[in-house]
Amino acid sequence: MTVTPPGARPRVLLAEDDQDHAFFTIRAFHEAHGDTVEMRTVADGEELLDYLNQRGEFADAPRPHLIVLDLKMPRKGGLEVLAELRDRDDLRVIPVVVLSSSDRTEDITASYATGANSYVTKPASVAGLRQGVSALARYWMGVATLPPGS
Amino acid sequence: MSVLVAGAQAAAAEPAALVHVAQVANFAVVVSAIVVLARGNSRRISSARAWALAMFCDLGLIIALGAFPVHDDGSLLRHGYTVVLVSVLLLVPYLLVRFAYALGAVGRTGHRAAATLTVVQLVMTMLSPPFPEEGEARTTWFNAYLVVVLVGWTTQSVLSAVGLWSAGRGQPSVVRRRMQALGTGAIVLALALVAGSGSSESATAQVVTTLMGVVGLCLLVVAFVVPSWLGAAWRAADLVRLGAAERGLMAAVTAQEVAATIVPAVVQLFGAAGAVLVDGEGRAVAAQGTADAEVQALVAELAERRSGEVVVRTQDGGFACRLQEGWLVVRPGRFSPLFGVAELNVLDRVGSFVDLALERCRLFEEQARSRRATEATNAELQTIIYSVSHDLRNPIISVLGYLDVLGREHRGELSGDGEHYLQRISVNALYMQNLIQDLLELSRIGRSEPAPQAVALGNLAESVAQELRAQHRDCRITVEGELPVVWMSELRARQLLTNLLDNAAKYRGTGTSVVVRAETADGGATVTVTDDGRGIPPHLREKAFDVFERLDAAHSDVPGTGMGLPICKRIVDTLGGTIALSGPPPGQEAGTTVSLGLPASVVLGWAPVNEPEKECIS
Repeated sequence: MTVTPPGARPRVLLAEDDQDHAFFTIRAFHEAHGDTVEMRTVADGEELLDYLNQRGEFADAPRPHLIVLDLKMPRKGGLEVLAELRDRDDLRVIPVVVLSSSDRTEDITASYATGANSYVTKPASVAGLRQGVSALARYWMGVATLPPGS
Repeated sequence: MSVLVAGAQAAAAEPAALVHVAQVANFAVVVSAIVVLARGNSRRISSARAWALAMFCDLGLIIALGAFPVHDDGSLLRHGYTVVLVSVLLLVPYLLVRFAYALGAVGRTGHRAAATLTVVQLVMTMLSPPFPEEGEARTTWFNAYLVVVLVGWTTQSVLSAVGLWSAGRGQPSVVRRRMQALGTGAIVLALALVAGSGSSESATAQVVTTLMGVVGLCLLVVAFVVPSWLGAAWRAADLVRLGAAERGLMAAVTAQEVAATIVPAVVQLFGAAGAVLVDGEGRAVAAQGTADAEVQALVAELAERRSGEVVVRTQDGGFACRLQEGWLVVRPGRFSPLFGVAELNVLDRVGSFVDLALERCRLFEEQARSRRATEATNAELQTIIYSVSHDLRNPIISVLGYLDVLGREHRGELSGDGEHYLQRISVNALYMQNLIQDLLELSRIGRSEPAPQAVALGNLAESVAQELRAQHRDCRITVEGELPVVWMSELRARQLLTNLLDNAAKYRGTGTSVVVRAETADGGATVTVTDDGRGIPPHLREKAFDVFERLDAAHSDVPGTGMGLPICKRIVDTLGGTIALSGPPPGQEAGTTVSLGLPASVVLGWAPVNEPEKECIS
C-alpha cells in the first residue's frame, strides 16, 4: 500500500454521525490549517471501513493520513472499528485521534488500550471545539511527522 | 414386728398432743399431695406422675391404718393387720424407685434389683409366722427377716435418692432443684420411717421422727408442686439466661438469626430434648434434637390446631407455643413430666419475645427491601439524568455553533429586530447549556468521585475569593481565621466553595461583604459563609436546596440555573455532612448565613490561610 506523504495536502478522514458536529469540526480544521487540509467524512463505523477498504462508492477513495474518530456511532461504534484497524497490517499505521463527547474513564482507557494515538474530549462549545481542533491540527500537521507509507 | 409399725401406731397408743398434731400434719400433706397429683393432669397422666401418686396413696394408707390399730393380742386378725400394714410400708421404697425409674433417674438394673428385693420382702412377710411381741425373744427367722427388710429398705431409699439427686445435674435450675428436693425428701422419709420403727418408747423420738416424716413428705410435695415464691427463687438463674437470650433476639435481623438464638436457648432453659421454630408457612426455620421426619409430623399436627390456646401440648408430650405466624415447639425432655404452669408461662413469655423479634425482622427486611428499591430507582434516575443531559449537550453545542457562525458571518444580512432575536436565542441557548452542564454535574456527584485528598479549605476559599473579586468588584470577600483541612476531592471542594461564595456575592443585593469563617463542632467543623445582603425569608430556606429552585423573581436578571445549592447539598451529603441556611449572625441586621456541618470523620485538622503567594494547595 501507499500512503501519500502529507507534505503539501494532508488528508483527514472524519468519522462522525452528527452532521452538525462534522460541519463545525471541518470548519475548525480549515480555520486552523487553511484549505490545504483535505477533509473527508463518513457517518458511521461501517462506512469508515468501506472507505478504507475502497468498497462501493469509496472505490477510488485515497488513504487518509489521519483519522478523527467519534466513539458513539450507529451500525459500528468507534472502538469496534479501531480494534479492526489495529488488527490490519496495512491500516494500523494510520494515526487515530478519538474525538468524543464522553469523558468517562472507561471510554478513555479503552480507547488507548485499543490503540488510539490520542483522546480528545469534545469541548462543550463551538469556540472550545475550534481551539481544540486548532491544537490538534497544529500538532498532527505541524509538529508530528505522519507516516510516509509502506 | 411392732417395732416397724410402732411409729404409725404411736399416735393412737400414746396420744401425746405434739405427735398427734404432727401426724395430722402428715396426713394433711399426703392428702394434699394426692389431690395435686391426681388433679395435675387428669386426662393424660404421665408414668412418673402415676407412680408418685401411687406412692402417696400408699403413704396415706399407712397413716390411715396406723390411726386405727388392732389391739386384740395374739389373734389371727391382729397378725393379718400387721402383715397388711408391713406390706404396705414395704411398698414405699419400691414405689419411690419406680417413680425415679419412670423419670429415668434410676437405671433398669437398679429397678430390677429393687423389684426383686421388694418381692422377696413381701413373700417373706406373707409367709412369716406371727411376729414376736415386745419383750418376747426374737427367733432366728425374725432376725433374718429384719436384716432383709432393713437392707432392702436402705438400698432402695439410697438408690432412688442418689438417682434423683444426680439426675438433675446439667438441667435447668428449677428441674435441678426439684430433683434435689425429691432425692432429699426420699431419703428423709426413708430415715423417718426406719427411725420411727425403732423408737416407740420415747415420745420425744416419736415427735422427731414424725416431724422428719412431715419434712420428707413436704419436700416431695414441694418438688411436685413448686410454690410460686420458691419457683421464682429457683428460676432466677434461668431468667438470667432467658434475659441473655432475649437480648440476643433483639440483635437478630433475620428469622434465621432469631431461630439460631432462641432454639438452643429454649432447649437449655426447659431441659428439653429439642426445639423447633416453625414459620407461618409450616416450614422449620431451625430445629435442634429433632429429625426431619419428626419436624414434618409436628408441623402436620400443629396445622390441625385451630383453638386459641397459646401454649398447647403436643402428642409426643412436649409443648408448642403459638406465635403470630408459626409455632415454637419444645420437645419433651427426660423431665418434661415436671413441666409446670410456671414453665408454661415462661414459654409463653419466650413466645411473645420471639413474636416481637420476628416482627422486628419482618420490618427490618421490608425496610431493607424498600431501601434497595429506592436505591435502585435513584441509581436508574441518575443514569437517565446523565444520559439525557449528555445527549442534550450535543444539539445545544450545534445550536450555539450555528448562532456563532450567524453572528460572525451573516450579521449584516439581518434587518429590523433580527439581531435582537438572534441575541435572545443565544442567551436562552447558553442558559440551556448551563442547565445541562449543571444537571450533568449534579448527576456525577457521588457517582464518579475524583480521589479524595487533604484539602485546606482556607487556602482554597481564598483562591476562589480571588477569582470572584474580579467579577464582583464592589463586594469584599474575606476568609477569616483558621479553616479546617478536609479529606475530600479537591474538585468538589472547589465546586462547593465557588457555588457558595458566588451565590453570596451574586444575591447580596445592596450588601457589601461576604465572610467565610469556621469553628469546631462535635469534633468536626462548621464552616459559615455570611453575607450582609437582603437575606432569604425563613419559609424559603429549605426550598433553596431543591433542584431548579430560584427563590424569587427579583433576581431573574442574575445569571444562574438554580442548581448551585442542590450541587452543594449533594457534595456535603457525600461527605456525611449537613448544609443549612439561616439568617444574619447576631449583631448584624440583614443577610444570610450558609452553614456547612462537616463530620469529624473528614476533618483532618485546622490551618490558617497562607500568604497569597503560597496559596497553592498541594
